[in-house]
This record gives sequence, C-alpha cells and structure tokens, in this order.
Amino acid sequence: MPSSISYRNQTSFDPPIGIYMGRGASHSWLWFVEILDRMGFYHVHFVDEKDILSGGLEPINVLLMSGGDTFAIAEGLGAEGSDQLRRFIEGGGVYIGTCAGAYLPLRSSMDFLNQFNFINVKISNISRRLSESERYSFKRFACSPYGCDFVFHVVREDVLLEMVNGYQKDGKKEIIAPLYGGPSMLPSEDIEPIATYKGFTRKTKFFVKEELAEKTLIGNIAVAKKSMGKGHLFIFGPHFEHPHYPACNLFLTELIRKNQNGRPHTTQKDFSGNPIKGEVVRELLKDLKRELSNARIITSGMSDFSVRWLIGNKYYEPEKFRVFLEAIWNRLKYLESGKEVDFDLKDPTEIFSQLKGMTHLLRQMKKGIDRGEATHGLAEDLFLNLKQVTSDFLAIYFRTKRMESIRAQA
Amino acid sequence: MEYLSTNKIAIVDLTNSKVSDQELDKELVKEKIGGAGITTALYEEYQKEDPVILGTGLLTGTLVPASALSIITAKSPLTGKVCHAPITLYAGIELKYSGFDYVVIKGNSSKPVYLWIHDGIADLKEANEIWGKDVWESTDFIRELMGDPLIQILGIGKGGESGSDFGQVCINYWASGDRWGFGKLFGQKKLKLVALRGMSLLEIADPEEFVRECKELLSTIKKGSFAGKKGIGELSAALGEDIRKWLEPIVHRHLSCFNTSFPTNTFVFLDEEPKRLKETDKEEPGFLITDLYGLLGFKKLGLSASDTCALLRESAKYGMDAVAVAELSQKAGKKKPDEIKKTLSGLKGALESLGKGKFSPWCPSFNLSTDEWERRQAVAYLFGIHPIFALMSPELSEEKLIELANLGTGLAFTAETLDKVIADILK
Amino acid sequence: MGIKVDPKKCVSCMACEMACGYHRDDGFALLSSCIMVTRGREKRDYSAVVLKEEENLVIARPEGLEVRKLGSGGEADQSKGKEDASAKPLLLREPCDLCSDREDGPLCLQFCPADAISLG
Repeated sequence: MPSSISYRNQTSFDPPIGIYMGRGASHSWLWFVEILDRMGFYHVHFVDEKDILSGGLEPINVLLMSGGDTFAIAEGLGAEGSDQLRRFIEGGGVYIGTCAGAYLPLRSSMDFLNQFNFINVKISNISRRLSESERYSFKRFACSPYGCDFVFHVVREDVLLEMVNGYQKDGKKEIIAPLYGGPSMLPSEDIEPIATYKGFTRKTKFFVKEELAEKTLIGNIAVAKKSMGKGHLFIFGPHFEHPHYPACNLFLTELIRKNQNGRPHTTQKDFSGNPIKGEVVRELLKDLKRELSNARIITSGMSDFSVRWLIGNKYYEPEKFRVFLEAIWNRLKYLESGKEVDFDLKDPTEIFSQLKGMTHLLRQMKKGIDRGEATHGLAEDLFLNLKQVTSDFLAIYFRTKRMESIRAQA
Repeated sequence: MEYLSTNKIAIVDLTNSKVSDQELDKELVKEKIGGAGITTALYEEYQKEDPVILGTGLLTGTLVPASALSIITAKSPLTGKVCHAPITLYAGIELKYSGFDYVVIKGNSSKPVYLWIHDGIADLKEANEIWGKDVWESTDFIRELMGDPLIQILGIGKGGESGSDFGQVCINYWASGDRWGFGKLFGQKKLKLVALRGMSLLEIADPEEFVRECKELLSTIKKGSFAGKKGIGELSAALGEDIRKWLEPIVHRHLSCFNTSFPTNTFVFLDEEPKRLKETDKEEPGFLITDLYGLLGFKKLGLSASDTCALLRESAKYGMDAVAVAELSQKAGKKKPDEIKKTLSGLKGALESLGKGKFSPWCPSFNLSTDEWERRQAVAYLFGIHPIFALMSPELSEEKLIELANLGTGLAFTAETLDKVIADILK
Repeated sequence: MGIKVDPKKCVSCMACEMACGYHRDDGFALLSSCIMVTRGREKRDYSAVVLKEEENLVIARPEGLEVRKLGSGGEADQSKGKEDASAKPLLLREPCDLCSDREDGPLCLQFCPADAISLG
C-alpha cells in the first residue's frame, strides 16, 4: 500500500519547483508529482526541452530530473540546453537527478552526453572495469550500450545505503532505497558523497553472483552533491522519489527545503487569481471526467498483455499509458470537491479538447491492434500527447491547490 | 449512502434527452434495503413517465457469495404488472462499478438512442447506426466503438425494435431472464441499449469482519449439495430432467456469473470441436446457454442439442425470449429448425408459461411452494444475490444476509425491516 | 512458493480478482488486482487467468501455462526475454505478495469457489 505520510503542515514556504517531463522522460516523473503533492509542495511547474531552451528554468528554484532515456534527454536539450542548465545551477538553482537524471551531468565522451560534463566522476558499473569473461556474461542481459562500452546493472529493487559526511535521516545512518539502473559512482574530489552502497536486502534482485554485485556497488557512491557557482547538483543512483519509500521521500524533500539559499525565493504568483467557478467549472470538470473515463476504459481494454510498443529505447505496454491517466483521475476528485478551479488557460476547454484527441488516438490504436495492424506510430503520438495532457492537467491541479493554500494561510 | 454504494442515482429523461444525477439517500436504503425495494420505490415515484429502472442489490459486486445480481424493474407489456427481471453474468456488477446504484430511464425518445454509463457519467447518445442491427452486431459495434471488450450491454434486437411482446433485453450476446417483454418496452422508448463500464471502488463499513464472514459463508456453501457440480445439465438434472447425455457432446465449458459458486451457464460449441482447449480462430463458434427453460422448450420439440442451441443463438441474436419461441412453435406444430427460425419475425400468441408474479419465471421453483419461492426471490432481488443460486444454497439465509448487510453498510437492518420490505414489493 | 492456477477448474467467476482487489484497496475494486480473469474473448469462450508475480507474468491458459519475464526486452537492441534492469515499476497492479500480511494466507485462494487456486 502506498504510504500516507503527509508533511503539509511543516511546509513554511513553497519553493518553485520544475519537474522535467520532456523528451526521454519515462513515467517516473509522476513519482515526483506524487511526493510533492503529498508533502505540500504546490508551486510546481512542468518543463520539457522546449521550455528549458526558451527560459523555462527562470522562474524555478529546483529542477527535478527523473528516470528515462539519458541519451534522448541529452539529445533533446543539446548544447543550448546544457548552457541553460549550467546558468540555472550557477545562478543558485538546485538540480536533483535520479537514475537517467543522475547519469546526465556525469562526465562522458559520448555524443550529446559530452555536452553535460558537469561532474568529473567515474561510474563503477561500466564494462571497461570488467574482466573479459564478466563482459561476456553481461552482454546477454541487464546492460545498456554506451559507445564501445556498456553500462551494466548488477541488482535491481532494494539496496541498503549508508549516509556519510554527517548526512542522516531521523538520526539513522542507514536507509533502504530502490535501484532501477541508476549509477554507482567512484570516489572523486569533484563530489561530496552523501550516501554509499552498503549492502543488500531480502528484496534485492541479483542479476549476477553476489560477489560481483558487491564488487561493483559496495562502498561506492549512491548519492552525491556537487556545488557549482551558487547552486548545487544532487545525484541519486537509486530512486529516492519512489512513493513507496517514505524515508527516502522525506530525505529528498528536506534536501529541497534546506537548499533554498542560493537563488532568491520568487514571490511571483503562479496562479491566475481568476479561477473559474460555479456551474461553469462543474460542467468543465464533468466534460473532463467523461473524456478521461473514455480514455482509461480503452486502456483497460488493451491490458491483456498481448501488445507493446518500442518508443525510443524503451518498450511500452498499455499499462504504462494507464499510469498517466490514473495520475489525472486520482486528482480529479480533489478538483470536483472544490468550488473553484484555476484553469488559467486562454481557452479552458483546451485541455478537454486535448483529452478528446487522446481518446480518439486510443480508439484508433485499439482498432489497429484488433485488426493486427501496426500501431507503433500511433503509440508514439499517444505517449507525447499523454505526457502533455497529464502535465497540463497537473499544472491546473497544483495551481488550484496553491491558490487555496495561500488563501487559507491568509 | 457511504458504504457498498456509489451513492448515485442517474435520472435519464428520454423525452427531452436530459440526464441528471442525485445522491442515494441513506434513509431510503434504511427503509427499502436495496434492489427491488428501491427500484419499486423509484418506479412509483416516476410511474407517470412509464419508467424502466435499473438497480443493484445492496450486496451486489462484493465478496458475498453469488452477489452477481442487478435488476430491471418496469411495467411488463405482457402482464401489465410491475415486474423484475434479473441482470446476471458480469453485467449485474458492472452497473454498480460504472458509478450508479440505480438508473431511472423515463419518457420516450423520438429517435433511436443508447445510454453509455461509465465511471459515474451517463451519456445519452444517438443510435442511428445500430438501430436495426441484431443483438450480437450491436454489442460488437459498441465494444469496438468504445474500445473495450469488457463493456457490458443490456440491449435489444429486432424483436424489441419491432414491438414484439416477446422482445427481450439481452445481456451482451446472450439470453437473459427477461421474460416480461421488457425488450418491447425498450423498443417503444427507442432505447437500443444500455452500455456499462466502470472502475469504481466500494467502501465497506467493517471491512475485515465483513470479509471474514463472507469467507466463512463460502466455506459452508462449498460443503453443500451442489459442491463439485457444474453447468446447466446438472441444474436440469437436479430439477428432475436429466439432459446431461443429450447436451454433453457439445459442451465446451461451464461459466459462473460473478462470484457464484455454481456455474449456471454452459458454453456449447456448434461450429468448432467442443473439446478444443486452444483459442479458436472462428469468430462465432457457439453459444452460451443462460436460460434453462429456453433450452428445454426446444428440446421438447424433439430437436438435437445442436439444433436446439442454434435456435437459442438465433433467438438471442433477434432479441427474443426463446421460451416463447419454443412454446408458440410447439402450439403451431412447427418442429423443424428452419420453420421455427422463420417465426421469430412477427411471433404472436398467448403463453401458458407466462410469469404470474413479480419475479421472472426464468428461475426454477426447486419444488418450493409459490409463497416460499417468491419470498426467496424477493430476498435475492433485494440483496443482489443470484436468484437461482439463492434457491440452491439455503446457507445464504436471510439472517446471514442481514448480518452481512449490517457489517457492510454500518446500518441496522432487522428481520422486521426485511419482512416489511418484502411485503411491500409483493403487494 | 507461489500461487498456482488450474484453468480447467476455473469457472471465470472473478472471485479471485475481487479478493485480490480487496487485499490491495481495503474496499471492493478490480483495478489493483494482480490476478485477473481475461474476459475479452466472450464470443469465442476463451479465457485464461493472469497472475502478476514479482518477476514473471504467469498466464494460465486452458492449453497450458505461459510464463513471461516481466520488464523483458527493455532496451531496443535486446532480444525478447532479456531483462531490463532499468524498467521502473508502474505501481498500478503490484506483484503478488501472497497476502503476506494475512495470517490465513492468500485471499484469492480462499475465495475461489472451484478450488482452482492452490499454493505450490
């Protein structure tokens, strides 16, 4: 069961936070959404590569970059995106990267990635560190190509970490966190270690013999900090934002809270102050619910495990599409329970039209699947649309929550 | 109404194409329990507009054994009385999970429409594209249009559209327990079908105790006289007519309605090897027998099991009560499948097997007196218990169901409440 | 030790699915169940029981058992069956935990009226 921890009352201020949901992002950015919502951080922006290139980092203090396809993220941002990111951090911004978001700023000679050499650190899970026989065994599974080398993964699921350099969580030095392909870093003068890989648990899933897993991970760095100008980068191998790990979630949000000195806290209002009310909002939400229900019903109709699509470097199953729809569905009730919603769109029905378009795409896909036709192109369009409509909806949701929270404080 | 409920009633006005919803008043539940108790109350409230009421039982869609039932309540075009027909298979629970405990459909539409009920939204939509299609084609059409093969459909075929007294509201592709001509009523209202799908969550007042009691009840039921038996053949044998040898050669599989221990439905393969385990590539290899008396009716004409089931399939596609088709064919001396099939269009006559009471004669009597049978049916139709299984399992006693209702809802129903509600709905 | 399903005994009543849904959500719902009765081929009367385990998707078909590695083929150049170490869980249908917090064991097994589910 998901944890029901709430940190709302302890939030004294609400720093503007950006969540990256653009090219290369998988679904785990929704985990950041979940924990921010739960912990009472409502000043949330959603940014994609285009936003970053057009000054989208300007209004935020923190950028959260979760898992996905590192190469696609780097390619999408390019050299200009890298400059924007560097300026953001040096100007006092906080970059928090987990998994793919952690690999992105590490030193690399690979195309695109080499534009993000912010941190001079080597990783222990790269094939050049393996013997020939070990290289051979890895080539068959649990690895991602990386130029002439490949990044390999020795375990999955839970790992035991040890906090170092005075970092701790509630006085404890050990913490269990989930690892899904994130990096293990070797000591380097360029970083301050925050946590190291200490051991395994009953829930650790081994891809290799335990000795090799130990050799690769134990004692190496799982979480690290690097300061750059007035700002900082925090790099997490494991997914501290996974919503089923409340201790990790708290550690992460405390980190956000404690690192707000480098960049002036914006006082800019992120909601319109002109919410839609009464019958109009009820009808709008009903229209939204109708389309959302139609869409989730189609995804449930596809969930018989017989179909999946390759998008970028990753495979997608219908259930992955449902994750996005459920993220909206579960928050729609909150908006329905209130009297006002801050749509703040030129045309409040825009999101409804987006959803309608998505339902249409889903129906086309379902028909295609039933007829044995190729649906890969549709799936690609759908995934892009899904990310957009989900982040648009979530922006409305957070704006409304923030408006209500500020009013309540007043 | 907080527990075991979606807390919503949809009011659909076909005359002016308006849909609204209202909360389900807890006081109404306290007074009328649920199912036929509340559909009867709603019928009375809207009777001037000749309503069709769809309703779930108080325990429908839960872990209570056999909690598969929802019902249709309306005035029967055949008997002129307010009657109840069962909605079984998975359609009974889909109504509740689609976000409404009750749906009032009143008035008449001037053009063909269908009702799409999903996740607490009721949409009235034009049905020009499916009006005139048979039951199977309409079900396929809606499932493909909406993109989900799990959508449950209560729909009519040409029988109901053409105003036949024996037009039936079918469930997906199959016959239902509608022996009241409700298909004709749908047709008169220009209501082609009601499509249901939803993913609601029902909360429980005392979850652990409720589930523990359900588990105990199931283990008692599993020791009962029907333990280990399956299918419509066994059901018929228990009622004194052994058709097992006649039917067995074409039996593919036996299927239960939701959470019902005894599978009262049997799938037969007519155009495919019945013992085949792998999925067939034939689109329509057979038929699901859901109505014992339809099956026995055609068998009485001396037909083979295959011919009988093929006629059941034709009746279901046309949206006609197979019992009526068989009985009137016998009266007319028609015994050949082709002759019988031709009678589907324009079938007329008086039925001896017409239901006399409030509850559908689709459910056998199991040698109970009329009073005993009616009381047991009333209990099933109130709580949402499969009507046939309710008679097969005395373990599902009134006391036990009241206890479960109280644990599930946090209300305080008593034997006196039940007596009063049953008296009300039987009057 | 895991859940075993005999699809030939199964009568597709969905009791297991509802029991699992209750275990996940403390209410009655089907969205989170890790055991599912496939009902999409109604006219053909074809049905299987699908169980999501920690690492596998077990599909109990009438003609035999199929086990698929979950998260397999995660990278573009990997062949089918390879594991994707970086696949993140979807957190919609959690894998079967054998109802580990229940003294009496798995609920699906206890609610199956046809004794089609066992532990083995």
